[in-house]
Amino acid sequence: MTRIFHRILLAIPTLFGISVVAFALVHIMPGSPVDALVPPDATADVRAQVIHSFGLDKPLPVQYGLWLLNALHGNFGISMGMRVPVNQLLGQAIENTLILAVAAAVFGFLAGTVLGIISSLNQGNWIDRFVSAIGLVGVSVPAYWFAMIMVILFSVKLGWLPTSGMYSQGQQGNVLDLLGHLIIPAISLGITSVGVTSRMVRASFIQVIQQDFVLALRAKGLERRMILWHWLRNAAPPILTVTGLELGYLLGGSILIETIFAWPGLGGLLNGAIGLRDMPVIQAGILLIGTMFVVINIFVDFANARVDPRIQRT
Amino acid sequence: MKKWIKMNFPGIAATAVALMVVGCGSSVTSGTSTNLSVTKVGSGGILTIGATFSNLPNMDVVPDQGYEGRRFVGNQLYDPLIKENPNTNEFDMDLAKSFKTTDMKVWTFQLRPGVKFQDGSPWNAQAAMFNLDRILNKDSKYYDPTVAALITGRTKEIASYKALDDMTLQITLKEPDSFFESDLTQILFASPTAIEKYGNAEYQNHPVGTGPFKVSKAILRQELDLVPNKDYWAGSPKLDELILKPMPDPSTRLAAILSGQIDWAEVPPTESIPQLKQKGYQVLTKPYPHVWEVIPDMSKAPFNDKRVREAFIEAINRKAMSDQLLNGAANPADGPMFPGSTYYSKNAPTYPYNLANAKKLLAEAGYSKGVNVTINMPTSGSGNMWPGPMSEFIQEQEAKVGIHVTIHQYDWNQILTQQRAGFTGPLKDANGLIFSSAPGTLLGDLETSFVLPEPNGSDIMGYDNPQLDKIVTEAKASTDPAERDKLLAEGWGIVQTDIPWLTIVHDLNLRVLNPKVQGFVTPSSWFADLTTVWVEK
Repeated sequence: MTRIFHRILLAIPTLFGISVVAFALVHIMPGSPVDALVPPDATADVRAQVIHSFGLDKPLPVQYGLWLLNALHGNFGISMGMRVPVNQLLGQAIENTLILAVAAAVFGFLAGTVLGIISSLNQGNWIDRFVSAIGLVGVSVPAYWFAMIMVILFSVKLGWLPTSGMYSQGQQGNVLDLLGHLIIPAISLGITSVGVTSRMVRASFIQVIQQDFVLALRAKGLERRMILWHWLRNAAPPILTVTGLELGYLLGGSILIETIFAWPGLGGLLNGAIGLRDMPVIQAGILLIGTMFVVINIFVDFANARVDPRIQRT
Repeated sequence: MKKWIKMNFPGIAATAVALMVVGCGSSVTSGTSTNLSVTKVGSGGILTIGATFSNLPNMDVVPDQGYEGRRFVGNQLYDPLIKENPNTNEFDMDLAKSFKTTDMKVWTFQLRPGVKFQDGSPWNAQAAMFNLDRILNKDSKYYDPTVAALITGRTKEIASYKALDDMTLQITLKEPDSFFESDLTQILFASPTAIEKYGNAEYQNHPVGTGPFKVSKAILRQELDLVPNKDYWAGSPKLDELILKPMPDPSTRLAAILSGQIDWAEVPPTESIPQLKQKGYQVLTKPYPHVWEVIPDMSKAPFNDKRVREAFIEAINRKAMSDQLLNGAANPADGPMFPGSTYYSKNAPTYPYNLANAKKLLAEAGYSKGVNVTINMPTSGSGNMWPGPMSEFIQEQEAKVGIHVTIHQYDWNQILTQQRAGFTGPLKDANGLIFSSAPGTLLGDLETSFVLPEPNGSDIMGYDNPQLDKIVTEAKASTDPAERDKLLAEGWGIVQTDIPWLTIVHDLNLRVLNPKVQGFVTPSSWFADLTTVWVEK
């Protein structure tokens, strides 16, 4: 338990670091939100007025202090471009990304685990080679290309699934309609995870199966089901770690997949915000993604410690 | 009889009733008329448009997302006093029934009677004053600094404004400015009642204008549902519903229209043009003010020499670029203005593809052994077409005459910053900047782009031609719109002669419609009239 407590304590300086980076990055990158907003023939006076209204004329440390203070109170300001509170934008975007990311992660984890187990049970024969090939393709294929192929096949040619968006007209909130819209993006986004997970699962399982305890369990005459259980627990930590990382990446939102499917998530929001140098949105977005990574990592550590008591002792 | 002001009757087909325009000496007055035909209201079906923006535009009176935001949202929700007719490119009276100015300094508008905002509140001089106060009067309760800044380019000539009576508005400019007429087309009017009710910050989520469509539902970043304003002063649109979907990726829009998810796709991938035509889709293209150019640094070698600029253009087979690389989505350009535009000068020289002449010009300029140039390019961005393949095409073509082009890529926002600061700032190591422009959409564009240096304009080239300056000054002060347009055409002709922009192609406003979409007139403008459109069942 102390270990988890330590991890949480350690997260505080990490989060502080993320906040500095999130704030500094948007000021370091060339370009300016004012140039994106104000017409080229605006007078210097008007530009100054806009810069002032966004508080960009204050010294940077002061801007950072104010921003951090507001952020700690859960207030991330108002989007410069869209003029909507950042909380509202991010809240909705993270919800949409969460739907897509969880679907993709579940698909990636399940398909990857099943393929990995099949592979490891058939180590060396043609089934293993075939499944490994699928894994390799999964890791290597560009998700945006795979996405377009899926759309061409299942939406344009066969007409089974919608091409983009989250809901059909007037179907907002209809779960079945959402699921229909979710299938292709989730598979396209999860395909890399399938590759990564299946290869991880295969390697981890093969490694564990060669260990002495498996032989000992067999020698003791344990049921196959029970052996599998011990086996799984021992093989789980690296798989959990990888899945956690994958989920972290997925939660950051995929700019490519979200753009291709016009999915209103975090990746697309940040991409648009970067183009406009919409500082409040970018800063809050980076902070949010960074925080999610930290939190997921803590969870993974915690889960690993539960599955494998050895980790707690180290 | 001057033709430059006409009435616009959305919903009336070809028999647009030309309106009586009385020109008395140097004074310009426009009259009015009533809607003569009753348009069918509603039952025109649902039209779903896949737009190129990644977020729904801001719904306040100055939409973001460039002219596309104005096209699909601003101009649908709101009206200006005078609007540009997207089909004729002439100025039509809108929320003003007529106006009068004798000196292009004091403009008096008779407001259109009987018009109501979509919340039922009346359109009158008080409403107009409220809106002008919101963007011009820092002391007014509802002054909004951001909205004011966004529209500043159109309002900076305004010195004062007042209501002469309930239906008469007078705007006085700082100096005579005939270009103000097109500035007026971009100043849109919102319901004061709605702004008072929701406040400046919240208003954009509850927009209320006088325009042909009103908002029924807005789902942040996903969908905007508009329904016809049945009380629209010029007759209700035919559609039952208009749905806008942000689809930033061209392939997404293509897949969506092919699968029937949308009826209308803005700018699909050009490779798909032959396939779409073959399948019976309406592939629409038409010249409109949209040019793709290299902005050269004329203050240093080699683009300080006009011969090099001419050679640069003539070395590019712009016909092949338009027809083959872009599958007909563009036309070759000889200057900023497209042939057929009011402001196109027939006397200006053209620069057909001519390798021999390009080489000769380069040799005369002292570059017979070749010359290196560095050009900065945006990777994407509003109106920038397909910068990657287009710039590679240019690179390959220029190499044939000995111009060795190095391309540096930047994201759109950095290019905007570079274009604002010019060749003395972040562009100092570059010889040119790939950019796109909408020359002539506003009457003041000639002055802004080629006469006024930064920060009041965007003449970052270091271009200076006193003859052009004189013509612009005359046009600006002209009290006769016909004469003004003639002078402007002459001015654009001078620009085409001097080549301060290396114009490459004119974009053709590519969009594709499902064959069921009827009644749409392909505009020669950035904007579009959606009131005449319906969708076959």
